[in-house]
Amino acid sequence: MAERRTPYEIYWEILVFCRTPRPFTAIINRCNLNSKIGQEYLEFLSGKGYLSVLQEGEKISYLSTAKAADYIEAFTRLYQSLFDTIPGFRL
Amino acid sequence: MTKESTEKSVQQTSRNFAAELRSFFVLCILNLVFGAMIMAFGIAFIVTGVLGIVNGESLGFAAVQVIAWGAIAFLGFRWILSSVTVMEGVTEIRDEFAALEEPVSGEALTGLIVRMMAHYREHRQPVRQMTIICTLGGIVFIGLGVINIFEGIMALNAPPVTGLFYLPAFLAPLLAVGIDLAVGVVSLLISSWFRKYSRAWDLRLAEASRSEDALRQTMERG
Repeated sequence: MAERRTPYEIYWEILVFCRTPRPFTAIINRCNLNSKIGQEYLEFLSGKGYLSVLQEGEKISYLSTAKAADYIEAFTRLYQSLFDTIPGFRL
Repeated sequence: MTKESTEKSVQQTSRNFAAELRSFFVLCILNLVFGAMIMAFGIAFIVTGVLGIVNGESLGFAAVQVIAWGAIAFLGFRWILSSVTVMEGVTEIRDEFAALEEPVSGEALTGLIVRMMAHYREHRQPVRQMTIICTLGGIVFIGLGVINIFEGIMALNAPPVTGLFYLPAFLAPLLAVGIDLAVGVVSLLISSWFRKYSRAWDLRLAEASRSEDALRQTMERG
């Protein structure tokens, strides 16, 4: 289902998942991404300052920064409003 | 927004989401059952047609009957396949939603909303096919019902059918009219429900696309 998500949805999933430090493989498994695409997303988010890269010896993990909270909140509000403002489907 | 009102809003969204998930699941099951019924009708009448050929009925008429019912059985088969495709994924999302602890957290709920959005994007085409198949099925069965009405009228003065049971000749077409019209009307109803479902989700996708600008701006500000 990965290809049917928008980049913004994937950013949100990564940022929420990385609220606690996560290694690269855990992120791509959880967010259903391949290594190449996963790397691109992580580089983008790190470049924008939404993720910080933690290095402990040879282990690298990613952690959402305080800046990510604004994005997570805006996204959550917008997506929940889709169910509140648009008349839903009922039998 | 205060923390309390945010929490209230999340729980309201969660109820809306649950109701919609339930409605869609029921629709899928209903659709599956009707697809199976239509396929079963088709196969049953193919067998009747073949038996007619064996019993010396006119080959041309029986062959036309077998082909027509074969097409209906195929429609039922396509109906089942499309239903299964559309149902795929929803069952999983439904189970995950049911497993969430109360009160549902905003983020867990948003995660499932994202998955439903992805599911609809992926299954938009089969849902549209479903609308067309159900409409076609409805028209076919209502048409058959109308044919059976004429058969019943023509059989009013025919001698009763004897065998194991003693039946007035018009009774069989009358029963068929009831079945055909009921299946036809429910098929058209299912089709309209699928259309309603598509409308709601198309609106959400359009709204989500518009919201992307706001998200992009949030990203840019970052």
